[in-house]
Amino acid sequence: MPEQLLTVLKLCLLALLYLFFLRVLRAVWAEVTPPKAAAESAVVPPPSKPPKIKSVRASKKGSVPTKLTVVEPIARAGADFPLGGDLTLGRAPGCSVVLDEQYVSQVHSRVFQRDNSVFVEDLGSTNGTWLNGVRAVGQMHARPGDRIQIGNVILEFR
Amino acid sequence: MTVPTRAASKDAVALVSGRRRTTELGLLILAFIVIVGLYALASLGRNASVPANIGPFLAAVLALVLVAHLVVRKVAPAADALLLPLAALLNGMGYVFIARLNDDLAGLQAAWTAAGITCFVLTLVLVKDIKVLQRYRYTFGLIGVLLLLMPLLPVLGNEINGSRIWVSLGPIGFQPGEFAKIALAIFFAGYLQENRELLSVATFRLGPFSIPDPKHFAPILLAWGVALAVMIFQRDLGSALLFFVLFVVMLWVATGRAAYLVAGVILFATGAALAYSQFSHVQQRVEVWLDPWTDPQGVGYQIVQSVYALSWGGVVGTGPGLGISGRIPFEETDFIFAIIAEELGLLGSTAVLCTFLLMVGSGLRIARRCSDGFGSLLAVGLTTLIGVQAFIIVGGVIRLMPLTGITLPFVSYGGSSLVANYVLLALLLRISDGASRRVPQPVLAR
Repeated sequence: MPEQLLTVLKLCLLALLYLFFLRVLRAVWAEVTPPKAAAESAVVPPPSKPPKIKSVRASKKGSVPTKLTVVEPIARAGADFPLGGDLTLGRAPGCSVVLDEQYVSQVHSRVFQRDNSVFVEDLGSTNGTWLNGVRAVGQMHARPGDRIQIGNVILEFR
Repeated sequence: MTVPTRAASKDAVALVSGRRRTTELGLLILAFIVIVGLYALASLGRNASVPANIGPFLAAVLALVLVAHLVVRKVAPAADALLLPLAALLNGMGYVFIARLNDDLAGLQAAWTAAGITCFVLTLVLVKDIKVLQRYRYTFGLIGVLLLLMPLLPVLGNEINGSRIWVSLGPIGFQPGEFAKIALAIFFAGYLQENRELLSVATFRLGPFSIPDPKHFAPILLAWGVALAVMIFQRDLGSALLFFVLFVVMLWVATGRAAYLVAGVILFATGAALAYSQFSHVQQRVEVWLDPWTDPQGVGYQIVQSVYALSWGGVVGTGPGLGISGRIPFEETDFIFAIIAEELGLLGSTAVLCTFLLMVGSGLRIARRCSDGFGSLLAVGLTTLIGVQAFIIVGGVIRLMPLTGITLPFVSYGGSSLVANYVLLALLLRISDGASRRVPQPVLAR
């Protein structure tokens, strides 16, 4: 076997090896930057965008919300918590609404009623309580259709 | 409105799964072509003929790759697409170089590869949800320590090449330490997940410093101390270092406190200085690393030959099968990287390093996307195991740091290492699959 041929074959093999890496890098690129139309981003709208935050139910504005419904994570979507009196939300077992998820503090926030209105208040959580994409400061008024985010849990007032 | 979202999210998962599995299959086929080409070329270089068993070899590699792929497609369809092809490439390249160096070991390595793929499949099938492992964290901690202690038992244990890390069960010898690493990573992930908040606040005063309450540390320090003591006692310095790094990294990631990294570096420096002053074999390793040419025919022989092999390889290498084999002791295990660098040159050895880099990248991406704290931490731990182990041995071979004999994951000859790494890979894929099924949410509020 002539030595030149072996060298050429070796170089071909190395080229093939790097072609493999090129393909891998392309796959990584596709993973980290999903195209706009990709199912992942289309189906689960990033809730941070203000227009998407407002739900269909916002039309009932002005009335008093009667319950909190889990929107995300999908696994728990649809779970209802009736409002009334003081509700504490957090990871601790003593909370009225126990949310055992990452980025949720032990006692994260509270939802309470006063003068026929519902308010949300952050209880010094690590990651904050977000009302319609805005970080809650003090006591915030909540209407039906408003969404609060606690860690990676999103709940909607209904 | 939750119902359509749910149905749609199921479609989305199916779409992502389909895309990932197609990518995986494409990459596996490419890796398969590279492996077979390398195998044929190594034989052409060595014997000037196409290997006689090229047919069975083709069939065996194809069968193993396809079995792994089909099982992933069936039981973990949404898992990461890159890890399996990358591991297959490493495993295949390693096999070709082992076969080129030593025919007897090649047969054994082929059997171990089949065993590795079997364990990979079994792990994926048995562990349906990674959270099950969290429930048995203390059991895994105990298993890890017991596995480490096994080689010290009088009948079972075996001392080979100055390290007492082998266990003989009948004709089969294996290194339980390879499996202990995974078990202890599971224990650490479970324990740290449970106590991460307690460990990230300093409530206990110790002189001028505030540290987290030691009672929360006790179990993990105990497991870690026992493991380190055992490894040092067994003279398995590479594993001790690997384990130390694993512990510090997981603690840091779990709590988010950089102080743990600083403490880790200080502890390591103290431990290293102590080991250097106490053990003659540590001193010898460091001296050989600093200047192997004082005794090139004796203790420095391995390193000197390894450096010659690296330099002889140059940029594109001598060509597979055309290097000078049989001169470095332990060339199939510890020094396989030097052989690859000699025969495929800088380009080929860089490819090996790229593969590890991409594996670590994939592992960390899995950890980042996993919304469950335990899975995320475990992914970090397992990724650290692969990455740091590759770093320690390659660093030793290229004289970046003192040599400590451990295997290069997936590449080196070694049954326990190969099987354990395939189990590790299966766990990473399981975590990835679980994370993708939950449909990763962009976390807005941080």
